[in-house]
Amino acid sequence: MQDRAVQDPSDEDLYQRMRKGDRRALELLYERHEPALYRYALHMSGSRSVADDVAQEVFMQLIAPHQGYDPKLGALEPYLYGMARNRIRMLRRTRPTEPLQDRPGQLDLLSDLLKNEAMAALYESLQKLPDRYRDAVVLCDLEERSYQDAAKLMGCPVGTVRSRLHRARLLLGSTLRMAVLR
Amino acid sequence: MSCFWVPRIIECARTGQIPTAEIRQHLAECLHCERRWAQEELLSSRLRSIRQASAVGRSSVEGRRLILQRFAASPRPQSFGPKLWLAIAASLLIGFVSFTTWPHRQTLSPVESDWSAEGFVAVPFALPLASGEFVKVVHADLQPSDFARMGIEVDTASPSPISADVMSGEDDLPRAVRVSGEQF
Repeated sequence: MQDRAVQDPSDEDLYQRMRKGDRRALELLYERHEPALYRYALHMSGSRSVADDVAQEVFMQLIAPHQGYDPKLGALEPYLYGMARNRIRMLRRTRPTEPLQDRPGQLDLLSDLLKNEAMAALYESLQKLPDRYRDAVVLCDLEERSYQDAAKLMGCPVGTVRSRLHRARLLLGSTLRMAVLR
Repeated sequence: MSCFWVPRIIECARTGQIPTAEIRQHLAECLHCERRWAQEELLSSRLRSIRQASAVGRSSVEGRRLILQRFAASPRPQSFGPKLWLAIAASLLIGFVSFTTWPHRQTLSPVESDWSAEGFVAVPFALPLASGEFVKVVHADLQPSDFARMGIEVDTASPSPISADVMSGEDDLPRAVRVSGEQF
């Protein structure tokens, strides 16, 4: 049991070690959460520049001397997603987004995929969903989080996550069906 | 039209499971659910493609380097030494002298000063208020998870709602929160 705790420390343990100056703990936290936070921000915003900014800024805030997280008061991951969500909301309002397809000269499977008209329509429809619905689709279907995990990150009951996801899928499915038939 | 089977159909499609015999039988009998099943399968396959495409092709090496660089440059709690204490004392002395001899300058906006004076905690990354923007304060009983969604940490183990005042701008987005009592 102790060996496992050493091999796979919790986020909160890593955070405590990081606050004491342990660089390796920060590296582990970064490796564990940055890719998912980036993808979350990418799909929530539809913009790579916003996603880069959010993924970076969340960690900048985390290592800042006077940031507001206290491990005694809750898990780290919902805190990170809370910061990311606020940052995305702010940047979506203030920064114009560039279409993901317009990224020539880079190995980018997502951009290539979105050159397909139906896929582009689906992704655009995802961006137009209300935040709470988009959150459910991104966490449950694009990030493959369980309903329980998504509920923790969204701060709502499991049943609410499920109903939001089902509602969102109905909206997305209709858009996609029309785009395919076109 | 909503059928009792729709949630099961959606879950089956999004998890990629083969429909059970009962679901298959229902799909054969219900045109609405048959269409919905086809739509859900199509949507699931496209979302799966997006998921797979977005999981590759990005390097976070540069971002990681910047974070570690910033981390190395930031002060650590255990690095308090005599030189640091001397520097703090000197800063305090300079600050005190500056404060008492120079005209006082207000660094926070009047609104922000009022917030902190009244015990409000700013919501991280919230948009700043525009000049002259009206704010409203609403008293509400919030769940700890509501605080987490705003990026503010409270005791999520607490079973009861937390009584708080939420300050919002004209766009109804929260800017600051004040918790009543000792629940923070």
